[in-house]
Amino acid sequence: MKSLVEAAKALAEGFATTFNHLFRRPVTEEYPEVHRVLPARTRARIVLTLDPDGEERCVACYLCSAVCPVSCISMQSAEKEDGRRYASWFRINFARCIYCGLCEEACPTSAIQLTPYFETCERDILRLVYEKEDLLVQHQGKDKEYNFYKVAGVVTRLAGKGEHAREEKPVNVKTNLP
Amino acid sequence: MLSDALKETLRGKIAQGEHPREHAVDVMLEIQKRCGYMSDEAMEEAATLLGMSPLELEELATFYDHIYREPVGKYVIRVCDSAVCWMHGHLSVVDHLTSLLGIGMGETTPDGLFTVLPVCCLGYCDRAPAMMINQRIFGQLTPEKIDRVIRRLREEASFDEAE
Amino acid sequence: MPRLIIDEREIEVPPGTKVIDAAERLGILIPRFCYHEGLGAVGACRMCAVQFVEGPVKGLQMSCMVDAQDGMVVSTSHEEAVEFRRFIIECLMLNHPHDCPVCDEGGQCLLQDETVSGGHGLRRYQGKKRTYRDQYLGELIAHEMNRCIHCYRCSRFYQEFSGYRDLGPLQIANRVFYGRFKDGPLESPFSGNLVDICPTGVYTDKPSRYKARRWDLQRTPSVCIHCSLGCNTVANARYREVVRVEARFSGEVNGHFICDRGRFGFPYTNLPGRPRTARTAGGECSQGEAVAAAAEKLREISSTFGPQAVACFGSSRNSLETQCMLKRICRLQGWQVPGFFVDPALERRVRAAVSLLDASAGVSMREVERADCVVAAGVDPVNEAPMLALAMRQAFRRGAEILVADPRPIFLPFPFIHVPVSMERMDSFLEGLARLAGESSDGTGVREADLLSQIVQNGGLASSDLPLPVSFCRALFGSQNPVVLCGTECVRESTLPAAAALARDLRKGRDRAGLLYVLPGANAFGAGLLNSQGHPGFSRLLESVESGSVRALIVTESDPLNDFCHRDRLLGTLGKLDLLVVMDFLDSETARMAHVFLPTTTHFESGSCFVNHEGRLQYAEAVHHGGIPIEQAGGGSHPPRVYRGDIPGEGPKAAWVILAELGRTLGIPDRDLLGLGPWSLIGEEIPSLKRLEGTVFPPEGIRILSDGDPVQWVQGPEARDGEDDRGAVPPGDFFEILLTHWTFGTEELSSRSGPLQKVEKEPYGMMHSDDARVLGFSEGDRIVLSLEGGQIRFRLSVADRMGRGVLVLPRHRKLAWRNIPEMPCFVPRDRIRREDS
Repeated sequence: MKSLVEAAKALAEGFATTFNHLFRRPVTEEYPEVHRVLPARTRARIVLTLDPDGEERCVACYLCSAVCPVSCISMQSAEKEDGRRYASWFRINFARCIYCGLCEEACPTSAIQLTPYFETCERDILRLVYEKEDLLVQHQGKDKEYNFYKVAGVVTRLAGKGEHAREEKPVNVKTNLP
Repeated sequence: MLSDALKETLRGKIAQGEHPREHAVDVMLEIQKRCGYMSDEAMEEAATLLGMSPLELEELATFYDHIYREPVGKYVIRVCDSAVCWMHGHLSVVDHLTSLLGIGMGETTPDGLFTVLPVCCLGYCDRAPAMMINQRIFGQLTPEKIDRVIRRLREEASFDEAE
Repeated sequence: MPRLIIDEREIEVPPGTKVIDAAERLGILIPRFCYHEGLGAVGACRMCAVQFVEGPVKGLQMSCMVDAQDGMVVSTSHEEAVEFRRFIIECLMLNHPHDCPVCDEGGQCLLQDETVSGGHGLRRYQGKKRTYRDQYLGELIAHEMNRCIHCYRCSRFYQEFSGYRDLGPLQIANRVFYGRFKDGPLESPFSGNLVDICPTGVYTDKPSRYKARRWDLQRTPSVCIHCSLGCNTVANARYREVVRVEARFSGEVNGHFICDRGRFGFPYTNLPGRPRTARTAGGECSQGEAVAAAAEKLREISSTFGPQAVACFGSSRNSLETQCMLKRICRLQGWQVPGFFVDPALERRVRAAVSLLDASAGVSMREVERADCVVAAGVDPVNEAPMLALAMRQAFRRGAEILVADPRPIFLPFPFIHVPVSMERMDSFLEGLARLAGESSDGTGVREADLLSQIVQNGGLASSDLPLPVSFCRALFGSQNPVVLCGTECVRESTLPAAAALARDLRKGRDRAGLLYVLPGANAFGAGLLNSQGHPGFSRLLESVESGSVRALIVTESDPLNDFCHRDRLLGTLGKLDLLVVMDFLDSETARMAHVFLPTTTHFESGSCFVNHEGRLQYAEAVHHGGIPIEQAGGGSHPPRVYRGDIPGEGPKAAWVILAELGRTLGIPDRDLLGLGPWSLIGEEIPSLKRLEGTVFPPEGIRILSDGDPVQWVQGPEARDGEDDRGAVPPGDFFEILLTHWTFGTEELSSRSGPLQKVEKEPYGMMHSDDARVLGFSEGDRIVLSLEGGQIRFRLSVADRMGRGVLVLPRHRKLAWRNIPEMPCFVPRDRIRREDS
């Protein structure tokens, strides 16, 4: 008899919990109807950002492609008329990318950055191969400040010799001063 | 650029040595005496006379302080900045000179008369602070002495010009 | 032999070895910037500091400045040394710009490596950085002085090692600047080495600017094929394209350096116009179809006209495999014996050179560097074989006396004696030297007046042409290790044995006297080995085509229209052929005339053997698999977005493989062709090389002239067969035309290089100022030379130090030298006139 009462009690308690939850707000979110805002440093879809002057940050130094453990980044470096080094093409194969973020860590110009956007599924695998025009975004991403060519010391339209941050005027080889 | 007479003198000087380039520095000093400083053209012509490439001569010219690759004034004032002169007020000498002439170190007055350059030790430590103007040395400098010297040189220059 | 202990390991080294080198022998690489094995030690950078714990030297010392001595105990990892080096690297980095991402040196930068290994990771110095303005140094080298760490390697190489005088250190102390007097292209044809030796990115390679990082490159040991010296190189390829060629160390051949022709001459292999598909009369087709079409036609011709109606022609740029396969197929098919040179006289000269060289006489470039007296006859080293000039300069730096006998105006980067003997008198000049050398081996018995008069007589010279010959003769007699250099391009046939005789006579009473022939082409030696007497000579071949006895011509990696003098005749003759099969990797004029064209691979794509001037068989490994470069496939943008399993444009095969396929289609069993493998193939065709079969290829190549095994390679220079005795100067007032090579712009492959086309000079002709005065010409005049074949127009340059009665013209594509009917060529003075403006 006692066990019967206990069983009924347990049953009632269980159902009560369930019943209570019917009136609670759900803790899960209904993906894809609801898009959760992910932390800024979540590692997903890769972009190429612009510097604060609106120029491409990527100098095609090949460090990201060197560090990439799955070799999914390839590019060709070239030179613009004003002396800027840039990528004439830049390709990331997202079918291979493991979103490890090593490329972002290796990037000396804050050009390549991982974003929280992860919905990159495609039915055609070739569409997962992103070219430079697919990767470029019109903002600075997480690093709003850095402008490599202002500190690099190489001559571009931005600055000549001795005009970068913390640089002396160029040495005058013919100077009379000892 | 170099006059034929000067070239002839230089050729004679060069011919005295076993190797023409022995006289490279002398040749440049001689040209400087006549022309004030070593212009690019003078460098090239001197190099040809010496059988050197312009670069080889430039290596020497830019190494030695007393060979001027940029125009200098009629009077090159070299202020000693060695330790002893420095202890005896080298900085105030420089300050006085530059404010008097209105130019900075290494610059030439607009009238083309004076250039101020530093030099490290003229061997006048016993009469510090010292300066050298062209080949003449002045010791125990005071603002008054500097004023006097500069005034004399200005007079001398205007006298030269008038003649 | 000093024995010392470095890092607890003992080593015995030859006396005079620096501690830094002794450590390297143990595999311990002491950090360094200024020290370079090829340039020596100066102790400028202070980076190689090590602690001397015991022995004659104590304390912290620069390992590049201390000779290894007995009893030394050295620690490279001593606390004090490590701290000192860390401090030095931090100081060197004070002014270094923040530009590694955009610097081409990144990834192969010694400064980067040492900074990391020195433990300098964080910049403590917050002051301003020193900057410099860069100079324009021409189209080959980019200048970025901010990166400089003042190790003096560049100026030491440029001025001391190579002897050019337009780049050096300027200024003093913290402002030292390396550059030129004014902006302008570097004058040295060895300037590319600055890129290799600069420990950081001050000098970078302009043609390959921003093309690739070192870690992305496919790198293989290769051999330069732009002259006969066979300098060792590293070929660098990426994305199906050769990007860069660098020097590779070879103790015996080129040392640490190469010339700019070798470094920047490679773009012919990447050209967009390079043919990649086979062609027949019906248009483009597959390689197999083209081979079948050629075979069918060949079968038809040899059944109708006999196998002798088929002739083959190779070149001195063929690999040894190709040359051997060509000869083999001709032999098996009964075709005519293949030829390799369009100039029969040149062919005979090469054959003579090859037969005259033996192991006791032939010398490598290393041995030229060690010579104490050098006689060069009919050779213009800077223009014909640039690295030879550097080898001669090293001999000069060690105190050697150097004499060049040549009617052309000769420039060398060191003082030497130039005797402008005419080509006609060259042999008697050399014979005179030989006789004098034979008469008196110590020089004491030679009376100076006698010497002078004999040489003047022998050389047909005016005595004013002879600066210091007596002192030279004394140096020659007193020398222990003289070397005779001889050209093949312009000299008479009899000069080659005369040079050999001089070397032989010099060898009497000495340990050694070397002989070096500069040959026309990377594998001219191979061509000389294979060239037996059966070959009729190219002019005879043309006659046979004209008379109809030869109906088909197979041309492998050769462009007779480029090399042959009488262009119009050759064009007509090639047009008469029933079948012209051309295999080549160049889009040559001959290739465009072909009935059947088969594209081949370059030596960058299929490894090949080349035999250099001293008979050193060297193997150039393939660096990539061929195909159209990705840059061209993508049109400058990203590569095409397609899936495919093959490589676009991978059709071409090595010429010897295509020849074997042709042979197989004609019914030769495969075991006699490709089935042999390269070694057996070479052994079959050059019996004296059979002994090499199965040899493992050593990195420095195999010197096929071995000691104690005197091999009569080919028959000695054959008797002149009547057609060729044209070396004699005709009576009367004539100019001899000398067709010469220039460092840049005349060699077949490198003249297709875009970067080198930007640095090559506009072609001009040269004559002696006295001759010009007689003719009323002056420097810069436009001159017209009227010949039967047509006119040659050129700008005249006059010189004092050259032979009289010669007109020197470069084999430049912008100069119509192919209007010359044949070589040697003598023109009457009245055929040369000034162009009326």
